[in-house]
Amino acid sequence: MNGRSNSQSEVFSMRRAITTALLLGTVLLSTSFGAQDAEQERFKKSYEKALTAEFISHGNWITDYDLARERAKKEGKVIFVFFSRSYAP
Amino acid sequence: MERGPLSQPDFPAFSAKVIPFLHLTTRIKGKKHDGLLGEKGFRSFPTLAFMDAEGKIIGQPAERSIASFEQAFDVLSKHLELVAKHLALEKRIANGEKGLEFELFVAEYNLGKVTGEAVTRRIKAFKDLTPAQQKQADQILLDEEVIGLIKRAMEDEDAVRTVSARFVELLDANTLPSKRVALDFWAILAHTAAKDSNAALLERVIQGLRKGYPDREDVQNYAASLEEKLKELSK
Repeated sequence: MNGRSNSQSEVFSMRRAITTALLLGTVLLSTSFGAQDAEQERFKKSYEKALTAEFISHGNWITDYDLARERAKKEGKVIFVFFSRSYAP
Repeated sequence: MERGPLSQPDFPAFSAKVIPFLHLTTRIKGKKHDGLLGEKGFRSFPTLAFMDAEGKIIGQPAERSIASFEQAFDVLSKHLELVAKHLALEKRIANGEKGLEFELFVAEYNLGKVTGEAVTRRIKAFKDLTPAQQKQADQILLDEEVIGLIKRAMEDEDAVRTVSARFVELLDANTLPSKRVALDFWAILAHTAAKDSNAALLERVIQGLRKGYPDREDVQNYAASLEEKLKELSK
């Protein structure tokens, strides 16, 4: 005769399954967050690199939307906006 | 784009007239205004546009060239000047200033707020216009007549000949529509001249285009193509 009854064994198995699932989920989540963090780092580096492009200083481009609107109001000028991206598609 | 018009030597001269704003979509979480492209109704990169100081999109250049940027800027600047003029007039009238009704009408007309029959009705209601104002009123009435005739010619090919005949009358009387309307006027005359092999009329159209639009490269190119046609007619 073993130390557990059938119903106790079922409960034990269920608890083990839940614990395993929780552990697995935690590992997956950590991996996922880690990947997201790495991706965000890449985006930040790409953005910093994009800001060094020669055409920006050549044309005196502002990269701050709030500042652009402030200057447009102050100087009575229209804003010429160039929409682009810094991340690779 | 970056290696094209935005890097050309004459770009800084254009960018000095505006506030050049580079918006980069970064996909960095929490970055302020990162979704601006979509908020402004655009979907693709690269996109160029003009905004007012509130951030409202007011226009876009037709092409990716400095010439196109300049052209769009000129049109927008004129429009913004008209808007400012109209606002200033409304303010003066609100402050009790008298005698500005005709000026206000002209400001509204130039903004496209008064069109069609309303233009004629409002002009006819003015009494005691000064000679300069009367001249301006007459020009507006002529422009409205020409706009109506152009519309007729565009909608009904059979009407082109009648419209063209009226345009020749105006040309003979040296009564020409203003620049904002005249291109279609000349185009309809050119079409009829070419169709009728009328070299004399075609020559007058070419002169009108060359003289009226010396700074418009597209119009000068059109005049050049008509000159080629004229050479064929003269053979």
